[in-house]
Amino acid sequence: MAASGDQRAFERLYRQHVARIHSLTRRMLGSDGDPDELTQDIFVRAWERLGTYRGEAAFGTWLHRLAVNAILNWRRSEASARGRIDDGVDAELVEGVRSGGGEGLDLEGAIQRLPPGARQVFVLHDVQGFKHEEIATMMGVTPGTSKAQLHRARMLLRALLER
Amino acid sequence: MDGHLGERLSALVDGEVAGPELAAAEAHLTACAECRSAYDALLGIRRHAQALDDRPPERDLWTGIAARLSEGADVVPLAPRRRRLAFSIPQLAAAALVLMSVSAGAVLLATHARRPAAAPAAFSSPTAGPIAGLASAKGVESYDTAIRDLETTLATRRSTLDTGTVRAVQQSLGIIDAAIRQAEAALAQDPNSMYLNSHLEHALGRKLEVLRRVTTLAAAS
Repeated sequence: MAASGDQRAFERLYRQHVARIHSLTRRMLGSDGDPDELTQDIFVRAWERLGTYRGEAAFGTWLHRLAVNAILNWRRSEASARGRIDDGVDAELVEGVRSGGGEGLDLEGAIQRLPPGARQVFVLHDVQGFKHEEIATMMGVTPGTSKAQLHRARMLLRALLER
Repeated sequence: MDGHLGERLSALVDGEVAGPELAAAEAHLTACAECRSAYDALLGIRRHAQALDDRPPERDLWTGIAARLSEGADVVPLAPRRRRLAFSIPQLAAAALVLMSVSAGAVLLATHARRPAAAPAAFSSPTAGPIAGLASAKGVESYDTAIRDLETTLATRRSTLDTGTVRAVQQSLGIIDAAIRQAEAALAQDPNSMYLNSHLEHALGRKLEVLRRVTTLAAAS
């Protein structure tokens, strides 16, 4: 294979899918990481793993699943590096919602304000359309935890958006 | 029902409540303005979330990606599918009919939906297509070689097969060949189509499986 030809072809796939992947990354990370950097990591990883793509699902579906896993792995390694369990509990942010500070936010902005665990479940369930069982498997939690986090996220979003 | 609905509100919004619990929740919603208001708000948030638009990054990230690819991240070519199919000849014939129907629609869609003339010149080259370049060229070549070998073998053993089997096989192969020709013709117009490349490879794989199966059958006769 001609390396230049491969990269041009892959660039076309990048152009086709980057908005969706970057939006997913931005929403999942909130203010905790650099979505540009992680998006680049995801496409490099996709390039390295093209050999595992069998064409049984649409390329976008394959890439999307790879991206979700990469983001969740990044989140876990970040939480581990910080020496805490990333269970989505962030008292400071929750208190911030209760005491104000969400004025004029649109939904995108409000999602950014959510605690990590609640934000990830909300994005995966309500934006991306995954089921609680799938989310539980990907995040290593129970479906009940996923449901609780989703409800928590929605109620926080309501509080933020109604200010 | 004690108190407010709490987490059951989200379950209601998602349609996950049924039976007596649903009846009780609906009765509560009818009576409780607070829960009703929360239900409406959560339903609105979910609908809004489902309709969010994707936005590209503010800066072009490709340059950084390309630099990292050039540093040595290798792509592993796709191998030809080796999945063994345990289908009978009539099943293969039926599958081929389905394949042809799907192929015809898909190729029509692909050829009408795409406008290759508008694509950048760099992507119009048959050698630069995503699959042809990234993965499938060697796979398709492997299929062609394997198919030729099996056709040669089968030609020498055809007399060992009964006429019904020969007819079914010819029908299956004719349908699959039509699908292959359609895919090749569409690819000539849109060589960068990932779907068409994948579709061609899939059709070749089908043909290979039919030939393998009937060759095995002929050898056992």
